[in-house]
Amino acid sequence: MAVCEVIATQTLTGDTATVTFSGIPATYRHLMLRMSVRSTQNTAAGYDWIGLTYNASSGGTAYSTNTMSGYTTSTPAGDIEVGQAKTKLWAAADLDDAAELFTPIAVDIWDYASGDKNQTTMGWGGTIDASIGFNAFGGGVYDSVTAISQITLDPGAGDFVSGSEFTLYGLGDADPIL
Amino acid sequence: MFRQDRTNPSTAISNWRGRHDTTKGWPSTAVSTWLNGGLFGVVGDAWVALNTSLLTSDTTTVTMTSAAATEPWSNFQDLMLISYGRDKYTGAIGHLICKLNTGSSYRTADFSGDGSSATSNRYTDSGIRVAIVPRDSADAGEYGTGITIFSDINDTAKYTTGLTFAGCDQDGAGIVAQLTSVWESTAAVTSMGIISATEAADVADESRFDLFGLRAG
Repeated sequence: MAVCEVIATQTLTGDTATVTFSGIPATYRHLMLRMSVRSTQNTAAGYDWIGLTYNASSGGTAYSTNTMSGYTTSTPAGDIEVGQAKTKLWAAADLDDAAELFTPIAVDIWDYASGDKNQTTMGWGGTIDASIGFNAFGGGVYDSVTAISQITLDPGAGDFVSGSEFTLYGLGDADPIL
Repeated sequence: MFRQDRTNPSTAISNWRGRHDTTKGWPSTAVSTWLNGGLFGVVGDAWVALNTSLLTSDTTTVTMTSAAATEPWSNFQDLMLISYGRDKYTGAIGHLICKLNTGSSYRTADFSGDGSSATSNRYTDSGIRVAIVPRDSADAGEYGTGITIFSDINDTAKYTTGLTFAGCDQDGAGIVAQLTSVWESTAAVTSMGIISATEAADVADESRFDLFGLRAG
C-alpha cells in the first residue's frame, strides 16, 4: 500500500493570481502540500506571503494564523492574527530578487476529511536573497468542521510568477487508501 | 503467461482492470523502463527511499549520488534528507553542510534559540545547512538532527533551495533552528557531499543520513 501519493501537480506557465486544487478526494488521512514559489510583488528587500483558504471560503473571518519568524539579523518574534479571511503562509521570493530564486514552502493539513474537527494547517518556509533573509513556521485554524475538498492559494500582494510549482500529496494510515 | 522482461497485451483495453493490468499499458517494453517513474510514478508511492549512509568510521565527506540511488534523482521534484550526526571539530556544537554537485556559492538565513535567547542571522555560506550537531567535546553518544527539503532539484530555471529544521540537545544546553539556504546555481542536482561546516574536521563515526525523493504528478 502506498502511504504517500501524488494527488496533483500544477506548474504555472504564466503569471497567475490564484492556484486551486479542487475535487480533493476524502480517501486519505492527511494532506501534504509542497511549493516552489515567487511573487510579482516588487519591494526592495522584500518578500510576499501566501494566503490559503479551504472550500472557496475566502472573505470571511474564520481563519487565524500563529507564526514564529526571524528576519535577517532582527530578534525573532511571534505573531497571532485572528478573525482573518485567510491563513498566512511564509514566504515567497519577490521580483527584486534574482530571477532564478523561487522559495520553498511546506504545508501539512491534518485529518482534513474527518468532518468533526476544525481544520488545522501547519506550514514552514523561508527566503534568502542578496540583501535579506526570512524564516517562518506556524499554524493556522479554519473554524469549520467541513471536510476539505478544495484548497486555494494566492500571494498576499502580487501574483504567482510563471514557473511556480505546487504539488498536493495524500498520506495514508494503517487503513488502506484508494 | 506474463513475462517479467517484456509485456505484450493480448486483450481488449475495455477489459483491463486498474493497476492489475498496468503491465499491458506498456507493450513490448522492458519492465525497467516503466516500473519506476512511469505509470507507477503517479499511482504508486510518491515518497521513495533513495540513498542511505551509516558511517563505520570518521569520514571527511559523506557522498550521495543519483547514480548510486535506488532510482535516479531526475525522477523526483524534491529530495528530503534526514541527518543524524556529529562532527570531530573542537568545541561543543556546530553544523553539518551539504555541497551540491561539489559546487560553490551559497547563502543561508536562520533563526534559532538556545533556551535563553533567540537570534536571526543571514550569511554567505559554503553549503546547504542540513543539521546542528555535537562536536568533539560533547558527551559521547550525543548526536544532532536535521530534516532538509531540497526544492525543485531538476528545474534548470531555478536555484536550488534547502529548507531545514534542525536541533541538538546536550543535557540542557543546545540549539534549535530553522534555516533556509540557497545554492546559486540552476544545475540539476546529481550529487551531494555532507561535511562539517568548518570543512576542517570529519563527520563522526555512527552518523547516519537517509535521502528520500518526492515525486511530482
